[in-house]
This record gives sequence, structure tokens and C-alpha cells, in this order.
Amino acid sequence: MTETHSQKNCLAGKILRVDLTTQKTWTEDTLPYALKSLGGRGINSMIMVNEIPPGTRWDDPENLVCVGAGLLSGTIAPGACRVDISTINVFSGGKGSANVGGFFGPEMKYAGYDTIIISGKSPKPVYLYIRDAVVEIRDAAGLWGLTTFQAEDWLRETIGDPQIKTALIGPSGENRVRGSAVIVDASRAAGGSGVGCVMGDKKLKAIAVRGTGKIDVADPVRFMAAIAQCARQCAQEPNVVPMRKSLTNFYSNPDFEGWDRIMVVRNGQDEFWDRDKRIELMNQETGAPSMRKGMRACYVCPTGCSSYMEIDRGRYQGTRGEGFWVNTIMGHAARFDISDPEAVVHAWILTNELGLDTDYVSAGLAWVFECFEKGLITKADTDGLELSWGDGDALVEMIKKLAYRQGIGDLLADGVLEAARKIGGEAEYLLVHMKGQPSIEPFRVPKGWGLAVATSPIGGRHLRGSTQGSQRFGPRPRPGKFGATEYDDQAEGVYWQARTKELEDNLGICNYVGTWSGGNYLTPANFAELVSSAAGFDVTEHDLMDQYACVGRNLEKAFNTLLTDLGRKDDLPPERFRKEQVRSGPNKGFIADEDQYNRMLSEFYQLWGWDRETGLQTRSCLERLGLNDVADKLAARGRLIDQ
Amino acid sequence: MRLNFDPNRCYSCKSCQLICSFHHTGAFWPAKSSIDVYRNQQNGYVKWSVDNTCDDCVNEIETLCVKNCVYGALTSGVRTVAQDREEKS
Repeated sequence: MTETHSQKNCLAGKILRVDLTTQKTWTEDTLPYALKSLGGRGINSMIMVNEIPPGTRWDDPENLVCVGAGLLSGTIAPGACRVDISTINVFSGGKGSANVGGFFGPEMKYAGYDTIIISGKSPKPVYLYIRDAVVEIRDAAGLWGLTTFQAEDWLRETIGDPQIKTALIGPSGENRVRGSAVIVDASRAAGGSGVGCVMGDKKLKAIAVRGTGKIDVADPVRFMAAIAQCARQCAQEPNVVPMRKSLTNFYSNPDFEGWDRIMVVRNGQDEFWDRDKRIELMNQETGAPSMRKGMRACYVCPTGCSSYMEIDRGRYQGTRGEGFWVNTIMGHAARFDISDPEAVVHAWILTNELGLDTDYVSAGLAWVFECFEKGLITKADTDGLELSWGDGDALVEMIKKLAYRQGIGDLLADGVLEAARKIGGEAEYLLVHMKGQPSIEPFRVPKGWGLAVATSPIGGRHLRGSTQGSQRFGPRPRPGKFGATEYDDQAEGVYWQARTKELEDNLGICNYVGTWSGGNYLTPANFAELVSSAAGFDVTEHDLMDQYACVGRNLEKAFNTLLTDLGRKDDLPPERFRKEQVRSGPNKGFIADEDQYNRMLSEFYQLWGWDRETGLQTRSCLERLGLNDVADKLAARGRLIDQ
Repeated sequence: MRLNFDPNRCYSCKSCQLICSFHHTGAFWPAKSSIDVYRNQQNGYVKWSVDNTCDDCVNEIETLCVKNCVYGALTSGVRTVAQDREEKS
């Protein structure tokens, strides 16, 4: 790749630094970072490896909260709205990252900042106000304690600007509940890794940003030609039409293949959900789809996948907000065996309103339900609540207890794995987690999906290379065997998908536009043309896939190796799924076979250029990527394979 | 200006606003757009408006906001005054 040193590029140009301890703010140039790792998570990861020393814990003032808009955010590149929030993972102690759409990332860039890096800790609650060059750390006494919805309203009214964009935490994050999210624009969650918990620990309630500046591109004529090509691909993609009515509509068909691929039922007791429950939850007349009152899109997104929901009947009447996803069905429904659509929709929106991560709620609280079923906890522990499978009202009450640390919520708030160890018995075995973070993911049926979740550097989550269980989506032609339930040839597909997702998160392009699922109409070749014409970095598809994407993933892996003892054993599926078979349905008898997963792991490590046996990074791999300094750091810690 | 806006089709992605600013400035600069879109994520409220700086995309082959609205919310019409349309989902 070569750099053309264009006067104009699609960067805002500056990284904003904020130290909450000293209350100082300053800026530095973005370009040197972007040349190495593009933007978004790539820059965040680079800064974390460079600046956070081994031994730092998530609640130390030296921990950083890094908010990075994608390289293409602020332009009209389709779906280029995403922003990455990285920090030390409160569960694993290694790399944490959560990615979110909406409008916040582009607004940061219009204000002049590609990335915001927050260090230190404030002694009292504050929020960060940014309007172009004006950056102020303001008192948040009036904000503290408000829900995410209330806090957004408060900021818009107090600042006097209805167009302000917000990234903020709810009561959950304030209370340092580990599984807390950062909620962006009131309806979208940067969910995983406990990013909201870290913000709460720093006493930072919110970032409110308004930008009136511009984003240029290096070659406008070439860029708009690239945009036109993307638009043609979008128009020709048949998957786009159903996406604009919500991907979840596929699940209104009780025989849709997704039901038998990715649904984990009753905290992992099974991976088959009864047909009548599927119909009760998802039928168009009385199910959750009947509460969809409109569809919305994130900034400059042609896919438009977001459901706006209102409950207009029953005990949760009046609940409203954006968001009903496949994850909602996986999490708040199937995992608890809850088919009551009103309870599921209400619980989901409540989770956002209180600032919790939905996966943490689903996986963590479903485990509590099972502990109750098994007698490991009783009504004496739950303030009298009966935690029965299928009881949506009990889930709603438990969500409140968790966010506000009430009763058993206080025990759970400090980490579900820690709670399991305190409860004892088989409690820890029953908890499904990856690298300490509770997980809603399937491992026994879709093997490529499971491999990606297991190897994700941030502790589970399926957006780090999971190959689709469905044949509807995914790249064409397909590398490896996408959508297979076998173990053969899975690593190649996961390696490909992990790199395309890395690029999407660095460029800020949503995976429902890009290569993963949903619309799925852009390719790495589109990314190369967009980057070359917008940023003025002359890159090929090969450069992006084999250099930039690998830099990003290797930085995260190195961060884990530098700060934790995570190793190969932590890249295996949860113990429960290696020991218990799927009990019923068409996949009865499926299991996450440990030997077969180990075989996939060796293949996967080799594809990345890591050591096949230990999974540790090698000097040759890192030096090929220009990460010699990272190799030296790993060598100093004795955790580099010198080959 | 000759734009018709259908609030029932709008996904409020703001592509119209951004491409309009590109027409005026050659950059992506929402503050310089003739179009403004306000959206409240909590209650579904969307407001779309175009002001008198709209020049009907003079010197463009097509009306860019219409062309870039993949949801079909904008069409070329016969209106000749600034428009302000609201919806509450």
C-alpha cells in the first residue's frame, strides 16, 4: 500500500484526549494512527496496547475508555455510522470492545474528532460536553441516577439543542454493575465487555456531542462513483427487502431454519424451542411483530433494519422504543423459555433504559433461573420471587434488581462468575460464559459460529467471525463451509469473516450492510475503493484483508496476552456444552466435541500465523505486520513464540 | 423546490440531508444542507424540513436527495415553498 499524502481525507483530523483526574483536555493528530490501523476499533486497540501497562485493572485510573468513530463515518458510505468503545474488559481483564451504530460516531467527526480517549477518574459525577472546539467537563449532579431515556432528555433540554447526540450510562453503569452498556442515542447499546461499568467507575455519566463541521474526501468524483457502485449492489440484493421490514420477520415462520441453528433454550439445557412457543412469540397478529409501529435506519444506512416498538395493550402498555432483534429472541425469549411477547418486548426496552447489556442480562439471569430450578438458590435469596421458566414478569423484576443492586442483584452485579463461585455446588458449571463474560451463544449446533465466539478476543459474542448458520447470508463465493454443522473446513470461513468484520469495525460500516448478514451486499473490494477514494490511502482488497485487518486482530490478541493469562483452554466452548448433548429436536445429540474443537483451533491459529499448539503469537507474524514493538513487549513477558 | 416528502416511508437515515450538503459544498457537511431531519429515538417522532436554500439541485443530472432516498420517502413534486412535515409513529 502507499500513502498519497492527499491534502484532504475523510478524517476529522484530531484525537481528543480527556483526563478526568486532572480535568485537562488536549488533542493530537489522527493521521499517524490511521495509516497503521485505519480508525474505529483499530486505533482504539493500538492506543490501548501502547499506553496501558501490564498489571492495570479495569477500575484503575490508568484504564482508558476509547471511543473511536470509523474511518468512513461522516461520509455517505453506506452504513458508515458505527463507533467502537474499547476499554479493559471487566470480565476477562483483557481487551474489551463494544460496537454501536446510530448517529453519535458521525457527529463526533463533524465536531472534529475521530477518536475520544478518556483517562483518569473524576471524584464526582461529570459529563463531557463537546461542541466543535468547545470541550467541557461539566457537573452531572442533575444527571446522576437518571435512566438512559431520562438522561438523554435532560441533556437535550439543559444544553438546549434537540440535535445533540449522546453516549451515556444508566443506573446500572453508575452502580458499577459489571454487565453495563453504553447507550447511544437512547436506543442502541455498545453492550459487551462492561464498557458502561468502566464509564460509571470513572464517574462519567455521558458524552454529549454536537458538530457543525465537515468531512472531506480525497477524490470526490472517484468516491461518488464507488458510492454509486455500492448503491447498485444494494438495489440488486434480494436480502435487503426483508431486512427493511426487520430480519426478525423470518422467525414468524416457525419452520425457519434459524430456530434450529442459534437458539439456546433454558440456559443451555436444550437447543430446541417448542413450535407453539415460536408461534406465540412471533406471529404477526398478536406476537411481537404486531407491536412494531415503524422501521428506522441508522445514519446513512440503506438497510434500515431497526424496529420501532410500542406496546399498546396489557400490563406493559405504554412501553416504547427502538429495538427488537434476533438477539431478543435468542436472549430474553428462548433462553428463559418466555413466549409472552409483551413481557419480552418490555424486558428488552427496560434493559436499554436501565443501561444494561442485553446479553449479560440474558445469559446471567437465565443462569439464576436455572440455579433456582435446581435449588441452589431459593425464594429466601430472591426476595420471594419465584423464578420459573417462562415467567416474563419475574425476568422484568430481576432486571430491576440487577441494575439497582437490590437483593440478589447486588451479588450478581459484581460478576456472575464470581456469584457462581460464592453459591458453590454445580453453579459454576451451569454458568455459560466465555473468558468470564456470560454468553448467550450456541456452540453445539453451528460449529463455525461456535469457533468464532470461542476465539473472540473480547470474551464471546458472535460478531468476531461467526459464520452464519443460514445459507441465506454470507459471502459469495464462500470461503470454507459457511453454515455447516460439521467441524471440517470451518476455520477458513471464520478466519475470512473475522477479518472482514475487523475491517467493518475499523471503517465504521455496519455488518448488516457489509459482509456478515442481513443486507450483506458490500465486499472487501468495495471497502478498498471507498478507502482509497475517501482517505487517499491507496489500498487494495489484499492490503485490507492481509494487513490492516490482521493488525487489528493481532493488537487485541496481544493486549490479552500482555494483561492476562488467557490461553488455548480459554478458546474452547463452555464446559457445559462439551459435556451435555442437545436434548431434543432435529439436532438432538449434538455436542461441542472437545477434540474436534481443538482440531478447529489448531487450524484457526495457523491461518492467523500463530503457534498451532499454544495459540500464542509469533515474531514472524507480528513483524510481517510491522508490529515489531508489540513482539518485543510480548517477548519481554515471555509469551511470544520466537519463530 | 419541488420535493414531496412521505413521512410514512421515511426511515430517518438522513442520507438526503448529507447528500444535499455535498451538492452545496463538495464536502459532507450537514450544517450546510438545505434539509434538516430530527428524530427522537424514544418516541418515534421524526420531523423533516427543507429550507429556501434548496436550489433544485441546479447543475446536477438528478435531484440528489430523491435519488439517494432508498426508502422512497422523497419524490420530485410541484411544491414551490419551504416544507415542514412531521409524523409521530
